Amino acid sequence: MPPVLRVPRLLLLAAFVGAIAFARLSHAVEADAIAGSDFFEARIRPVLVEHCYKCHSMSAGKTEGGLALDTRPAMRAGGSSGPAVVPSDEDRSLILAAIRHDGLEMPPDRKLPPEVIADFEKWIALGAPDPREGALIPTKPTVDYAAARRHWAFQPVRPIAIPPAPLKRPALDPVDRFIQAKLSAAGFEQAAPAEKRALLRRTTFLLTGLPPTPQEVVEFITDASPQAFERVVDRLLASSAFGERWGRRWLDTARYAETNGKSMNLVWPHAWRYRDWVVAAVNRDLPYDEFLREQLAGDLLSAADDADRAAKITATGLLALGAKSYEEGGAREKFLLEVADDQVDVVTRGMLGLTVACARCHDHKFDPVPQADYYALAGIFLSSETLCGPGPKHAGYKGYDAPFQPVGAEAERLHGPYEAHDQNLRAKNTELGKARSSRYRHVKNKTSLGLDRKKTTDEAKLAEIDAKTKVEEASIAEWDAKIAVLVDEIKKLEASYPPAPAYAMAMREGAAPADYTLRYRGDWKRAGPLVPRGMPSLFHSSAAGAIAKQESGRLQLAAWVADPQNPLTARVAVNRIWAGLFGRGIVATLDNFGTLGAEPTHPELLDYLAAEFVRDGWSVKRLIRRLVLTETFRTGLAERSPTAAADPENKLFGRRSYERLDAEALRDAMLAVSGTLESSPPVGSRVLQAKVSSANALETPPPQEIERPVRSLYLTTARSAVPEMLTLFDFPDPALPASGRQRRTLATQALYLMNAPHVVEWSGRLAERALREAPGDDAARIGWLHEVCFARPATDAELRRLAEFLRAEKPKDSVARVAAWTIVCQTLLASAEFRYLP
Amino acid sequence: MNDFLTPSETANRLSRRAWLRRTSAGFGSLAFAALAAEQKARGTATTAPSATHHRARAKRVVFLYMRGGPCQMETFDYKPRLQADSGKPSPNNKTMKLLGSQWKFAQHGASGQWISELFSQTARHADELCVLKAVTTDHTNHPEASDQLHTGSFQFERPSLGAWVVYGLGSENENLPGFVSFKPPVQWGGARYYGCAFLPAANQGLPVGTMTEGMNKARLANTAHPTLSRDAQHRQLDLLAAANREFAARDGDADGAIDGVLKSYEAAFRMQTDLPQVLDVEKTETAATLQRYGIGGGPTDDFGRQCLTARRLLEAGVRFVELTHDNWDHHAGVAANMPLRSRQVDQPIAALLDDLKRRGLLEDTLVVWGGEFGRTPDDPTNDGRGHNKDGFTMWLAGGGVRGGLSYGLTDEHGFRAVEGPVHMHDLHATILHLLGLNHERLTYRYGGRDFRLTDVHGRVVREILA
Repeated sequence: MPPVLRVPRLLLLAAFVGAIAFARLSHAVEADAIAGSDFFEARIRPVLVEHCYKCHSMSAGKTEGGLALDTRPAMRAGGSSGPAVVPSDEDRSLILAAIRHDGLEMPPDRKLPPEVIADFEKWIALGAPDPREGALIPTKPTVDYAAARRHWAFQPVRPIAIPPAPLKRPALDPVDRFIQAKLSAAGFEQAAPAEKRALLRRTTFLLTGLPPTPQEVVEFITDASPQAFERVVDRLLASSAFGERWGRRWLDTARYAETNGKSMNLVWPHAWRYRDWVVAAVNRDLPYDEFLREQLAGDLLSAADDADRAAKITATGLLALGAKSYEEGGAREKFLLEVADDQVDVVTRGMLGLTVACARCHDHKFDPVPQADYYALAGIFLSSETLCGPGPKHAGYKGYDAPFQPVGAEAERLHGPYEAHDQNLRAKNTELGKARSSRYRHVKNKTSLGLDRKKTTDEAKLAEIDAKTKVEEASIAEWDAKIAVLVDEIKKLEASYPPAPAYAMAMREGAAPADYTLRYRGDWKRAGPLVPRGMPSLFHSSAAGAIAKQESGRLQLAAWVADPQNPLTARVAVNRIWAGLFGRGIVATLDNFGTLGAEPTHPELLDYLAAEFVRDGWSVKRLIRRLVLTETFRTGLAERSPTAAADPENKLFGRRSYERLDAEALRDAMLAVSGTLESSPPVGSRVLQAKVSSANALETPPPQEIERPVRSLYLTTARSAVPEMLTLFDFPDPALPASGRQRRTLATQALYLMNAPHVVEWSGRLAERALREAPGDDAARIGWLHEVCFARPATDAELRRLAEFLRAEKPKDSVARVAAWTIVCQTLLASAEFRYLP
Repeated sequence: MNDFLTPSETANRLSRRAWLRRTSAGFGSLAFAALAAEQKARGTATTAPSATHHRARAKRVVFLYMRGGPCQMETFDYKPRLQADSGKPSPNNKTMKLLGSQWKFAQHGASGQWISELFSQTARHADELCVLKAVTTDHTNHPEASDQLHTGSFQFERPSLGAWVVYGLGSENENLPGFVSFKPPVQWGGARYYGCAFLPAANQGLPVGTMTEGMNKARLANTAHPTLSRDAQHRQLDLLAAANREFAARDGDADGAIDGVLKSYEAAFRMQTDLPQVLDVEKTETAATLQRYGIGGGPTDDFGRQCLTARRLLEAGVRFVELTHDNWDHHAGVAANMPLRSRQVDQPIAALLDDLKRRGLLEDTLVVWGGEFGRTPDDPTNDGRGHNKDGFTMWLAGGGVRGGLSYGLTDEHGFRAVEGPVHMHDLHATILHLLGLNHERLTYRYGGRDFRLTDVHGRVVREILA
C-alpha cells in the first residue's frame, strides 16, 4: 500500500526515501560506489548536462516525453517509454538504447561518440551510482503558491462599500452607482436610456430568446405608468420561455449532448431528461446553490416524494454526459480515469471557474492547484458510479457497460422485468454473433478446401477433401438452422418489450469507495502515492465535512461547492448572468477565474453582486430582474457617444453595443415570426430516430431536424453532428464545456440565409401570415411585417422601397403574390436588424 | 469580430453593383483563377496570410487520405525477404503465415525508388516522392488511429491538422474557405477530421460530399436559391442591402457590425458563383484533362474528380484540401482488392502530381499520402492482413521535402520500424515546419492551457527536408 500523503510532505518524503535508498546502496558497495560516484561526475554528468538537460530536466523546465534526467529518482523513474536507467541492467536501461540510436534516437541531432556510449554502459554495469538527490517530481513548485493564493478570485468575497447615491437620486441602484462612479472617474456619462421599443426587443430576446409580439409592443408603449417596464420583466421571467433560454445557457457549460461523440458516438436515448430538468429548475427558480448541489449529489439528498427523488437523480446527469473514450480492448481503469477527468473539468471549470484538469499530469502551472488536488477530486468521482448506459455493442468493447438509472414512482416495479427482457435480448444477440462467426469459420474451411482441391489431382486426396468438404457443409447447414432460430427469437423479443420505466443518465455511489493514487505525469499506469479524497487544498473550508470511508465524497463536494463561503461559486455565477445580459462578463473569461483569466473590470461590483446573490437566497430570477431594471441595462446604443471611441470594447458598460442573436434565438425567431413555432415543448427526444451502426454509434442524425417547428434547444443534440445552421451561427461544440459564445459574421451564414430551403419556407409562411392577418393594403402589411420582425413601424423609405418592389414584380395571381411577398419577407429575416439586438 | 472572408479594399474599389454585374456575367474558371490571382497580388484578403515562424517551404497541403490502412509491402516498401519467406510461419505468431507481395516491384527514376507495379503511374514521379517507411502510430483500431492521424490525439477532442494550418496561416482567398475536405466519413467521428474543436470556428474545414456518395454528386449546400433565378435573387439582395444600409444610417454602426453583414452578403454572392464552378470540373476542364485524371466513369472517376478539384482549389488559394479514398482495410481478399483500390487512385494521383509540377505549384504544395496505419506482413486468414501501427509507409512530395528519398526502415519482413522512425506526432511537426510553423509555438489557449497539435511531443524530421 503506498503511503498516504499530502503534497508538500510527499515531496519531502520522496526526497527522503531517495536519500535512504542511496545510503543503503552506498553502504553495501561502498568502495565501488565512491569510485562510481567519481566516475559519474567525471564521465556521465557532463554528458547529461551538455546533451540532455536542455530537453530533459526539471531545472530547465522541460521534460520531453515525461523524462527528466537531472535527479537520480527522476532518471530511474524514467519517462513515458519507461525507466531511463535500471542499475546493472543494460537491456532495460532505455538511455542506452537511446544513445545507441537503437529504437530511440538521442540526442536527436547526432549520435554520441562510441567511447561515451561505452562509458554509459560501464556506468550502468557498475550499478549506475548517482549522487544526485532530488525528487521524482519537481521540488520547486512551478507556482509561487503563497503569491497565487493572494489572487483576487481566491480571496473571500468581502463586504464592499457602495458608492454614495447622487444627491438627487437617492434610490439609484447600487449596481448603477458602481458603473457610473467608474464612468465618471474616466470622464464619461452613461448613454441616454434606450427607446421603449428597443428596450422591449432587447429584454424579450435576452430573457426568453424570442421576439416580442406586436401586441406586447403596444401594451408596453401605451403603458405610461412608472412600473410598465417592471411588469414586462415580471411577465418574461414568469414565462416558460425564460427557462428555455437560460437553461440552454447552462447546457453550454454542461457540454450537454445526446450522443457520446469521439470515435464511438453512442446514442443516448435518455439524456434529454437532464435537459428538461435544467429547464424546469431554471423556470421554478431553484436556488442556484441547490441547483449545483443536486447536479453533484442529487441522488444522495433527501427527497420530498418520488417525483422529487426522480428529479434530483436526473440532475446528476451532468456528470454522466461527458464524451467517453471507448477504446476497443482498452483498459477499464484508463477508461474510468478519462470519465473522472471530464467530471473534474466540468465541475471545476463550469461551477468554479477553476481549471483543475490542468493538474492531471503535473502541478498546475499557473494556479495554486497541486497535482494531488486533482486526484483528491478524481477519487471522489472514481468512488462513484457513472450510469451512462451500455458501451458499444461489439465484443471488442467488453467492460464498458453501465446501466441507466430507472427513475420515478414506477421505476422499481417496471425496471426488473424490462431489464431481464433486455438482458435476454442482449444475450441472444451475443449468441447470434458467436453463431455467425462459427458459421464463418466453416465457410472459410470450405473455401480453403476448395483451393486445396484445385492444387491436386491425386484421387485419394480428392476423396479426402470431398469428405471433409461434406462435413464442413453439414456444419454450415447446422449453423444456418441455429442462426435462423436465433434471428426469429430476437425478432420476437424485440417486438415484445414490457413497458419501460423512465430512465436517466445519472450517478450513484460506487460499491467500494476508496482514495485513489496520484498518477505520475498523468500516466494511468504509473501510480504514485494515495491521495485522500477531498477538496482543493487552496480553500480551507470546513463546509465540506469529512468524507466517511464508505462514501464517495460527492455529498461533501456539493456542500463545499455550494457553500456561501466558497470564494468562486457565487462570483462565477453572477458573472455568467451578467454576461448573459450585458454581452460580456465583468470577468471576460467566464470559465477561468485563475491567474491566467481576465481581471474583473469592476471587482467591487462583482463582489457586491456575489454577496447580494447569496444573501438573496441564490435566486437567479431575482438577480436577473434586478439587473434588467438598472439604468445600466436600459441605456441606448449611443453609437456616437464619446465612450464609443474611448472605450471601444465597452468595458465601462457606459452604453449598449449591438449583440448578435445566438444561433438558437435566430432560428427560433424565424420560426416565431412566421407563425411556425409550436407553443408547447416536445416530449422527449427524437434521438432514437437517428441511424446507428451495429455498435449503436450514430451514423446520421434524425432527418430534417432543423425544420422541426420546435425551439432549437429541443432539437437532437448529437456530438459531431450539430445541424449546420446552428454551427454556422456559433453554437458551441457540445463535446466540450463551452466558455461562452462567439459571434462571428461569415459569408457562409449569408449563403445560408440567402438559399437554405427552409429559410425560404419560413419566409413563405411569414408572407402568408402577413397576407392573412395584416389588415388593409400593402402599406399596412409592410408596416405589420416591420412590427412583427423588428418591433417598430416601417419607415417611409421602407414603405416606398418595398411597395415599389412589389409593384415591379406585378404578381398575376395569388400564387405569384405570395411569391413576391416571400421575397420581401426573406429580406427581413436575412437582414442585419433581424439578427442584431439594439 | 467580423472575421468573415471579405476584403474591405475590394469593396472600396469595386462597388457592390459592379461586383454583381461582373459575377452575373458568369465568368468561368479562367476568370475565377484570374480573380484569385488578382486578389492575392493586391493582398486584399482580410484573413491575411499571417507571418510564419520561419521561412515556409510550402504554402498549402493536399492530403490524400487512404482510409482503412493501405498495405505498405504491396505498394512502397519493397520486402524481398518477405517475398522469399512467403508461406512460412510468421515469426510473430506461429499460427499465421507470412504473406509476401503478390505484385512486382521495380526501381524508378534517377533515385531508384522501389515502387510496386500497383502504382506504376505514380512511379513516374519517383524522384519527387519522399517515402517515409517507418511511420508509427499509437493505436491499432481504425477510429483511434484515424483520430490521431487527423488531430494528433485519440483520447481528446482536438482541432484537426487542417484547422491548425488555417489557424496558423490564414486564408489566401476570401471567396473560398481555407480548408476543404472531400467526402469525409460520417462514422468514427469523421466530423472531427475537419473539425476545429476549441479553435475559432472560421478555421473549420468545409465538408464537400460524404464518403458514401460519389464525388460526381457532391454539392455544396446553400449555393443556389431554391426558387429564384439569379436575376430575381439580385433584385432581392438589392432590397436587402438597401435595408441594411438604412439600418446602419438610422441606428448607427460604430462597431462595424452591420457593415460586416453587408460584406458577408457580397462575399456570399461571389462564393456561390465561384465554388460550384470549381467543383464542376466537367464544364470547365478540357476533355484531355479529364482523361488524364481518369474522369468519365470507370474506376478512376471518383478519385480523379477529387484530385482535379483539389488542384483547382489549391490553385485558387485554399490552404488545405483533404481527399478521401476508402476501403483499404484488407483483412481478406488482398489479391482482389489491392489491384482494385490501387487502380482507383494511381492514375489520378499521377495526374495531380503532373499538373502541380507543370504549373509550378509542386514547389510550394505539400502532398501527403497515407492511411491511419499500415498492415502486417503475416496473414491471419488466407488472403488478408492485420493492422500495423509499428512501422508503415506514408509519402510526401513537393513543398520542401527531399524528393527521391526513402527514409526509415522496417525489419526485413515489415513488422516494425527499425530505423528512422517517424511517429505521427513527428509527421505533424514536420508538416507544420514545412509550412513555416513551429509546432511548439503554434498554440491556442483554451480552458486555461495552451494547446498544440503535437501536445508535448513531436520532432521535426530534418533528415527529409530539402
